[in-house]
Amino acid sequence: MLFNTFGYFVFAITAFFVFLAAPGKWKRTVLLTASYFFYSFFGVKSALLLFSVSLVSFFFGITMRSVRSSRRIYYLWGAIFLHVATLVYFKYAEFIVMNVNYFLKEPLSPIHVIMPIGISFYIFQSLAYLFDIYLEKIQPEKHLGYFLLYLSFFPKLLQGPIERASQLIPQLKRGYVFNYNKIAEGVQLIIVGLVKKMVVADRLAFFVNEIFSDVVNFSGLVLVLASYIFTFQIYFDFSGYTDIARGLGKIFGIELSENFQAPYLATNIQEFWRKWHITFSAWLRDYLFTPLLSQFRNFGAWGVVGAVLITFAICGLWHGPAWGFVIFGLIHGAYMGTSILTLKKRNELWERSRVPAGWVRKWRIFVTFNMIALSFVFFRADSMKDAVYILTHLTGPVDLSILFQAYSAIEILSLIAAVALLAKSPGFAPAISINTNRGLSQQFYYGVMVNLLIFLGVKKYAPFIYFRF
Amino acid sequence: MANAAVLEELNKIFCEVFDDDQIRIFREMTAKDIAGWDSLNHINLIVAVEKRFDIKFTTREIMTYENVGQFADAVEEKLLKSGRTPDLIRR
Repeated sequence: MLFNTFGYFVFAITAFFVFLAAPGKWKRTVLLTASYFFYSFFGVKSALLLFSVSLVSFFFGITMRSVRSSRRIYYLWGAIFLHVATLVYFKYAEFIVMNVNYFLKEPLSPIHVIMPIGISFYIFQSLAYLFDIYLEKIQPEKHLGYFLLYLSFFPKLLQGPIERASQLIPQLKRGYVFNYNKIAEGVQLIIVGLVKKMVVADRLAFFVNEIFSDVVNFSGLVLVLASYIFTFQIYFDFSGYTDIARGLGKIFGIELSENFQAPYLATNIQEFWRKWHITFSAWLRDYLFTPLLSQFRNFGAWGVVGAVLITFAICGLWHGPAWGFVIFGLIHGAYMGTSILTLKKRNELWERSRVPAGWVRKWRIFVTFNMIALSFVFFRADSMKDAVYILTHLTGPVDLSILFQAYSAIEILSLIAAVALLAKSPGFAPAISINTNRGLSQQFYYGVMVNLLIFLGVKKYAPFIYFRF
Repeated sequence: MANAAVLEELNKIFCEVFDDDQIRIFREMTAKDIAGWDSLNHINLIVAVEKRFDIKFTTREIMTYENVGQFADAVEEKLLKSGRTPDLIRR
């Protein structure tokens, strides 16, 4: 039961009306029940695991604060160990056994573990919560109900945003006030998100899937195009999801965090990571990169490179148990390390070059985008072999007939229309937003969007890319 | 409350690390107030302060300071603990 299905729609509407009908004190209970009810659709065992992880974080949080300051570090490490071990077991055990067996004469018997959906997201939120208590940035939550809801709040449970306790828990505690404008804003965000997902991302996927499922039959421009199109597909897929999550949040009176700020307009890799999957990259920065860099701080540039590479290797691996993700992470680690060490020099060189600033900016956006698209080849390719094949066969025939076999003229037009409309949506490009006095009126704008969804949305259900992580 | 001499020395270090002579630090100042105060420059700042005052911070301390005031107080406390009076640190 995912965001882009009818079942979810019915669930969300029901949850909202029960939420509205419930008296003040009971509204949070309704949300918590709805969240666990929703998650149980993915398996009762998954829900039990989420509950157990929540209990562990809750009690470690309280205990950590009650012991002497010098002893807290042991509780922190204990909690980190339990959480990381849980994540490793459910997400990486199969992968580890498979890779270890590669080196063993007598292989271990393979194990099969079903990964509970959303586990990477709620474990990371639990860890952030415990770090913040250790650093005395927050007080431990003493009410189990609010804490359970912090980790399980259904709009963000499966795929983020990765919320900080200090941002979310106070909002959960605040009483709900019915606000028509907030609800309208929420519905608009949901429509924008659904258009991104069903009209754009899922349609781009046709072509991407066709090429990536059989790369050796293609070469040249088709592979370049497929890599570019995937780069757009993943943006529309994931930012579409985030819009829906944030829209749902607003309806229930909760502001969830932004995850994207026009990431492909970044002029360098550092900026890209400040604009792409923001809640995740901020997590990595605060709880992994900064402590690592602090430990390595007396090793100069080598310390920086070491901290960056470890951070990004984990960033890659977080996405899933596959070497392609590790390579994706390491590529970004290499980009980032180089960027950090050379950015100042490069800025100075451009300033002295006398090339007009506007052109420099466009050029740097272009280069950064291509670097990102290249890294996503490892992210998307079905195997390392496929990824290497793609990158070594980018030159060659300029035949794009496959593109026109994949899409009819109407489909191509619908894509163009959707992207053109989305370019005016709030959040898509921060500088542009709908002005009700000039240009399109809001009603007309969202009316067109809904029609796009109904008539041109891809109905064949496709899961969101980030659900796998 | 950190001594004026400590603040003055810290201000010099801020100017060096952020490569901007115009910076005037104040107690409530946070990373948001200075362009370029990111996680990397935060550590550069710590390293520079550690060298200048010959003191050491723990990783936990580095991650906890919420503003320049707290940071300056911590510097002064470390100086006093090592038996130096802040007035004597002036170059």
